[in-house]
Amino acid sequence: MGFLRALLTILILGIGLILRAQVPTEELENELESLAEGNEENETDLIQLAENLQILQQNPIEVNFASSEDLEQIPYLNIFQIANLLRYREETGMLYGAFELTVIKGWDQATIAQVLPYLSFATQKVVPEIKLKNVARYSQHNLLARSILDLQPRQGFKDGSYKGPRGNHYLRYRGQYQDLISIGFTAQQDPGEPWGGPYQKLGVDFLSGHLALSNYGALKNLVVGDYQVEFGQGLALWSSLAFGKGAETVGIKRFARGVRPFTGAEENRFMRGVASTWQIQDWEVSAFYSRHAIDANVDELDTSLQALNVSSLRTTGLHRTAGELSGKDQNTLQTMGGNVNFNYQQLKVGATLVNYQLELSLQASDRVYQKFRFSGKEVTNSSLHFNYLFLDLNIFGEIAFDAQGHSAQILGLQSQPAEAFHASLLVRNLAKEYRFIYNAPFAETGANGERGAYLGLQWQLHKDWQWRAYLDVYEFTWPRFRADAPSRGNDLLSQFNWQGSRWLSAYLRFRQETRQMNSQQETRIQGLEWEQRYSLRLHAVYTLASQWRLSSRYEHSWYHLGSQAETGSVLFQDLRYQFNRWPLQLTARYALINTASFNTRIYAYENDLTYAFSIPPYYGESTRFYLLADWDLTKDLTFQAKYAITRFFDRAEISSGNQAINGPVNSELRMQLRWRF
Amino acid sequence: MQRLLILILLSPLSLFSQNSYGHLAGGRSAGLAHATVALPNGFSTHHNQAGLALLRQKQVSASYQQRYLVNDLQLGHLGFSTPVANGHLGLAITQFGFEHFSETKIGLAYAQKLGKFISAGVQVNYEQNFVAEAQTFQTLTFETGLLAQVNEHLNLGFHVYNPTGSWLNENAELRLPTVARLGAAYTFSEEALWVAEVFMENQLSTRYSTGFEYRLLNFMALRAGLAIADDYEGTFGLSAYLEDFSLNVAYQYGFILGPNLSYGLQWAF
Repeated sequence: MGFLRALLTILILGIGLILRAQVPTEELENELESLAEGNEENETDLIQLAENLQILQQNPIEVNFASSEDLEQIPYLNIFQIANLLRYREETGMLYGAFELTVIKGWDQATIAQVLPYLSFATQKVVPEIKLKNVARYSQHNLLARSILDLQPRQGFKDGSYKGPRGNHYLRYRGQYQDLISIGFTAQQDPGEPWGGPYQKLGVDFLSGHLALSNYGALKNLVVGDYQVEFGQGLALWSSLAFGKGAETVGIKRFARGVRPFTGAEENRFMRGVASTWQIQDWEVSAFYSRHAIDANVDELDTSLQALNVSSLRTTGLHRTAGELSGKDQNTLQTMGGNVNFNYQQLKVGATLVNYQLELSLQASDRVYQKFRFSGKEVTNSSLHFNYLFLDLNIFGEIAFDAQGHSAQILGLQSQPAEAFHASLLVRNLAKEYRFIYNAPFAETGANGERGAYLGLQWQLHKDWQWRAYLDVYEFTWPRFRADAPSRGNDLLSQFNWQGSRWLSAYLRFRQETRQMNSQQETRIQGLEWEQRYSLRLHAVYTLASQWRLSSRYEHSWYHLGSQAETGSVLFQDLRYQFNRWPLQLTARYALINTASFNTRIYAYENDLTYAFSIPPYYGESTRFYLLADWDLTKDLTFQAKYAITRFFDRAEISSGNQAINGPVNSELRMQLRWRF
Repeated sequence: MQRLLILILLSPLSLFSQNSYGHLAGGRSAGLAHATVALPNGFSTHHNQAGLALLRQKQVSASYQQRYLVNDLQLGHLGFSTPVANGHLGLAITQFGFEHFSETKIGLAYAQKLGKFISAGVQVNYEQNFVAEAQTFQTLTFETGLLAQVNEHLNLGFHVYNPTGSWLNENAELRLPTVARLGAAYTFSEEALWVAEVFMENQLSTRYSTGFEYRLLNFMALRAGLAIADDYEGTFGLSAYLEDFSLNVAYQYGFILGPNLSYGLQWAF
């Protein structure tokens, strides 16, 4: 009887988990939104993250054969859950299904439901063969074409400053054979960028592509074309964008993924050339070479010196006006280097070396706050990094140097002493003279001699209640933009998550950002004063009868700088409906916005076309509405369209300069066709 | 002279904000500090038309309010609603002001259940703004709302008035406000109810309100509420139930602007 009951329980639990696991998209959206909160400008990485998860879903990780590195690709798992899973596998042998996960320490139902789509319980290792026939037959292809049109013309189009048409176009192909072969290209044209000659040699403004071979014997990765490299904790080399402080308060350790294809559209932050990683027993060796043109502001030729100088590198990727076009591809960046990792049980140590060379020398800036910015032609960084797991304690860190011997250090510690409690601590210290080009450490800005300490907590107070919090205190030992002296700051977040039922959840978030900025008061000696931003958000998500999904939010923000004080608020309602009769889903939002100025802006994640992420700032006295239709024309072909409109009540012109719109309304139409074959 | 002064003083509220929180109607609603966007009742034509879809009977509702106990600042509301084939139809008239100045809104509402747990409503309004010896303005506006029955205890409601930011008169630069309301109603038992709401308007400070209702006896209910905007407001209400009728009285006290008295009558048949 007891056995039967146990069997029944396992079956019901198993079925329940599988049913829940079929809708990871909403979880992914929430995850992306919370990750995006503190990282409003890093939209490109969301594309890569979403795509990685999609690929993972198509090629689930084989639990019975996976290494800790394989499992680290799933963002919902922490290092302790991974270690516990591997320990369980070692002790009891193979896992035969999702129900077994429930007995592993730290694997609660919510986690299992989140990760299940990315796991497979195969008991035989399938080693796919690279035969042309198989590659042709079993590859998965994803083709995506997108166009976005601003319905109100901006000033730059009216007066001819923008040389190209108004549409924003994007074409992307990615082919994948298991996790072995990947091939892809991306073409992108921003609004205002001209097509073809004389401006574009390749016809479009940005073109990127790659061919990659992975997990083939000792070859872990070989990429020809465009790629990203990530090593250590991002102090010496991390070419992609990385997340900073957000609602994910404890998962702050960087999971370096080494070499991987670049599939984003960040036009100035990637490598182009060849890169490879080999694994020989406990050793992992990577080497890479990259050379590509980058945008720069080139000064007039100095005939006496017979040399070209660049005053700055450009990173916007926009080439619309004559000025922007003249700076396109004006410099060349050559990057080469390598990395060695050694794994011994729970210890991983590594060393990275990277050398960057510019064709044209970057001038030293005459601004005080940019005094230590990299100048000249060459930067070399080296670093040592490690990661060690001892029982429920994980310690990780990196120390990096530039060629002049200036150093930067990061040391982190995380622990899950009880299943319900997880804490992370991270300290960083970057010398103000430390020079770098592609790095992305966990920090406020990672420049201007930043030093800081971060403490993050996640506490499951009760079955339905979770508390997340972080406190980060930091200082800059050198002036920075809008702070003409060394300055300090601190950030705080406290969030209560409530899971009332499977259909209803809510969170209450308080966030505070405080830092010193130049005083606005007109005194003879300008000092620093505190700039403070607070926000309080209440957000609820509820699903009704499986077809309806609603979410509501109210957020209030406060801003103080010296004697200046402002407030702002946003209230919105989202509605999603999945038709039963047709493969059609509609999503709509109406938001009322009232902020005194841009200072009290409130960012909000918007549902968008697949792989297009939108986290616009809501500001001014305005309303915003959007309607998104998602229609599966066939099993493999999806059409999406989004119409969005913002109406301002407090202005007759939106934005300024070339981007100005004459009128209080800004609307846009986005359309996308996605074909999987 | 006194009237003129009051008109000038109140013009930011009254001239441009027919539907702003200076004009919330209903005796029961007033006792709950008007945190009633998620509470379906006979006054749903005024607070959230989606609530009409949950009513099974015909309703007649009437209310009267004297703002700050000043004779010239009167708010009257009269509503009727009836179930029709697939939904519920409502008609409501609201008038604010006195002989020299008045705002009138006549709304025709329709609400329907969109599924077992969700209802939506929409209302088209004819609005008139009259100032003696000045131009009278008329316009059409609309408002729409949603009501979700999240579980047997909890309702969540959302309502927006004038979502497209219509003008009362564009030449005179008289814009009607856009108002969004988001709220919850939680029924502890048949006797006890808690409501809360955020009321946001593009021209005024956000108003937060909450209220509690306790049906002490079968024929009597007590209410109390609290609202915070630029002013703090405490509210108290009392209802008497007599078969199909309910009579509601509410006293609101604003710390800055003073007292209001509201009376309401509902008849369900």
